[in-house]
Amino acid sequence: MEHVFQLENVSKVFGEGAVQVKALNSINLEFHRGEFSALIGPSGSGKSTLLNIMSGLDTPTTGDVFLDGINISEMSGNKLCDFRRDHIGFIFQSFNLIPVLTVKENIEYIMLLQGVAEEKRLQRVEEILERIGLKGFNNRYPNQLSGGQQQRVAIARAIASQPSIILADEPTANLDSKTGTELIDLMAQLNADYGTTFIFSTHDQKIMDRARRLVTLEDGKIVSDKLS
Amino acid sequence: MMILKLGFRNIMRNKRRSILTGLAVGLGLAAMILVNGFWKGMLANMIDSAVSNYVGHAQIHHRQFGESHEVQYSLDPSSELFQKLKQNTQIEVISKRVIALAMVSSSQESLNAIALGIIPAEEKEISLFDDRILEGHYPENENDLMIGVQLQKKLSVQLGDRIVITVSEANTGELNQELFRVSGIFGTGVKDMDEGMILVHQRKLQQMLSISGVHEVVVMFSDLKTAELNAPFINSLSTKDIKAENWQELVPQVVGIAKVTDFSMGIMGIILFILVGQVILNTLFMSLFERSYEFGVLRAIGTKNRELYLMICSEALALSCLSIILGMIIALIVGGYWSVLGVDYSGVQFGEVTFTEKIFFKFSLEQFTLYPTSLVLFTVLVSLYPAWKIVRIKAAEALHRSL
Ligand SMILES: Nc1ncnc2c1ncn2[C@@H]1O[C@H](COP(=O)(O)OP(=O)(O)OP(=O)(O)O)[C@@H](O)[C@H]1O
Ligand SMILES: [Mg+2]
Repeated sequence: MEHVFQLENVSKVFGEGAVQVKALNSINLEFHRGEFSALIGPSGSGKSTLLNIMSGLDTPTTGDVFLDGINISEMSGNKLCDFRRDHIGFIFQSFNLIPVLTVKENIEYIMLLQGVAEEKRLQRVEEILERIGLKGFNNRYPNQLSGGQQQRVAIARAIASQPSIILADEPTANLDSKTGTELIDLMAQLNADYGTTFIFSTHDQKIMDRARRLVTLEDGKIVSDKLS
Repeated sequence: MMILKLGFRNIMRNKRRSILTGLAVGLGLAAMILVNGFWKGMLANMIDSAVSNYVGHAQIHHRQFGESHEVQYSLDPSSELFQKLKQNTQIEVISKRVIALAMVSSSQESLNAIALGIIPAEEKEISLFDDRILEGHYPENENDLMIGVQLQKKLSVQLGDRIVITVSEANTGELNQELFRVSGIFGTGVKDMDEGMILVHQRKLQQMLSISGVHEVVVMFSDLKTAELNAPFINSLSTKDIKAENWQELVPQVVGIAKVTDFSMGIMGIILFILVGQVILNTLFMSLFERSYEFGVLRAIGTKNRELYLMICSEALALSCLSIILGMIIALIVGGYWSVLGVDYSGVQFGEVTFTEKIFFKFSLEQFTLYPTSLVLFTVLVSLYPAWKIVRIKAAEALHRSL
C-alpha cells in the first residue's frame, strides 16, 4: 500500500538553552491511506507536535516528513498551503470555527479558497449538513450551537474540500460521552464510506477502542505501535 | 468576497471598541474638515473684506502715480484704456477716483488726510463707505464732504460744520484752498479709513488740483471667479505708462495668508494622520492578537498570506469606513451650524486685513472627498503592519498559545 505520511528521524526541540524541551525524539513512522489511527500518550508526550509537523504547520528541528513521497521541507509556503487546503482536513479540540461566519459560510470557506463555483459549493454544503445531521442549520452562528454541534460543523468543514487525510487533535475532549460517541460514529462512517484517512491524538478511551491502530508516545518517543 | 465579509463582520465583534475607535478617528477627520472650512470661510471673508471694502477686483494707475503719488500723473478718461474697459461686458462697475494728499482744517485743528474725489454713483457700487454712513449722506453738492468718524472726532466737527481743505496743484505745486461742509460721517471699522480719509466730489477736487484725469480706476466683476478669469484681460491693459493690477497684487498679504493656511493645513494633516495611525494600529493590534488562535485555524485549513492580508486590510477598511461616516456626520452638523450662524470676528484685524463681517464655515467638495478617501487609504496602508505581524506568526504557535 502507498504511504501517505512518512516520518524519518523527526525530532523537535522547543526553546533554547536551559529551557529546552525535546518534544519529539527521533520519530520514525508511517501512515497509510485509509487508516483510522490514534496517537495516545500522557499529556506533553508530543502528540499535538507530531500532528502539526506532519501537516507542515510546524517544521521539525531535524528529520524529514514526506507526503506522498514529497519532502514537505522542499515545498514552498504557498504550495504547502495549497496542499493542506486540498488534501488535509483539520479538527481541533475546540474553537474550530470562525465565529463571525455562519455554519454555511464556515463550511464554504475552504471551497471558496479552492475556487469552487458557487452552485457547487452550496450543493455540497447541503449534502454535508445532511450527512452530519445538521440540516437546516445553515444560517446559525457557531455560538448558537452546542459543543457537539460545533464539532460536527468542524468535521463538515474538514471534509468539505474532500481531503484524503483528516488530522484530529483531541476532537472529543470537550464533549460529553454520548455526544463524543456520536461524533466518533460519524467519523468512522466517513472513513468507511470515502476511505478518508483519520489520524487522531486523544486521551479518549472511546476513540482508542475504535481506532484500528494505536501509536503510543512517551516523552517524544514511540513506545508502542499496535494494530488492533 | 467572503474575505471582505469577514473583515466587515470582525469589526462588529467588539462593537464598543470599534465605535470608540471610529469616533476617535472620526473626530480627527471632523477636526480637519472643520479647521479647513473655517480657514476657507476666513479667507473668503478676508478676500471679500479686502476686495469689496475699497480695493476692488482690479485697479489701474498711471505707473508714476503708483510710485510717487504726484497728482499730475493721471489717466485721461477719454483714452483708449477706458474704451477697452467699456468693451468688457463682464465688468460690472468701473469707479474712477482722484486721490490727493490734503490738509484738513477745522476751527480747532489741522490734520493731514487723503482726499478721495469720487463720483458717488460709481463709488457706491464698490466701497464700504455708503454702507457705513453713521450720520448724514454722501457728498451731493460740490462743497459737500464726507469724513471718517475718527478724523471727525479729532477735528471736533459736527454735521454741517465748515472745513477748509488745502491741496497743492499739479505741476506748479501751488496751494489751493476751498471751503467744504460736512455732509456725512462714515465709520467703516477700518482704522486707516476712519482716521485719514475724506470723500469729496470728483470734479471739485480735479478743479482744485487743476487736472482733468483720474488717478485710480477700480474695476469690479460680478464675483471673484469672474475676476480670476479676467485676470489676463486686466494684465493686458498694462503699458509703458499704465499699470493694471489684479487684487492678488493689490493685497498680497491675503495671498500670503492663503499660502500659510495651506501650509498649516498640511502640517495639521500630517499630525492628524500620525494620530489616526496610532489609534488604528492600537485597535488592530488589540483585536487581531486576541484572535491569534483563530488565525492559526485559518492557516491550518489552508489560508494563504495573501488572503490573510486581504482579510486584515478589509477589517481596516471597514473600521475606516465607520470612522469617516462618523467623522463626516460630526463635521456636517458642526460645520452646518457654523455655516449658517457664523462666528463674529468683525473688527478684528489680521495681517493688515480687517474683518468687516462674520466668518462663516465654508463647505467644499474636497473636505468630503479628498480627506475621507486619503484617510481610508492611509488606514488600509497602516494596517499592513499588524497584518505582516500576524502573517509571520507560525500557525503551530498560534494554535498552541491559546490551548
Ligand atoms: N510552541 C511550543 N513552545 C514551547 N514548547 C512547546 C510548544 N509546543 C509544545 N511544546 C512542548 O512540547 C511538549 C509536547 O507538547 P504537545 O502539545 O505536543 O503534547 P501533547 O502530547 O499534545 O499533550 P496534550 O495531551 O496535553 O495535548 C510539551 O512539553 C510542551 O510543553
Ligand atoms: Mg495536544
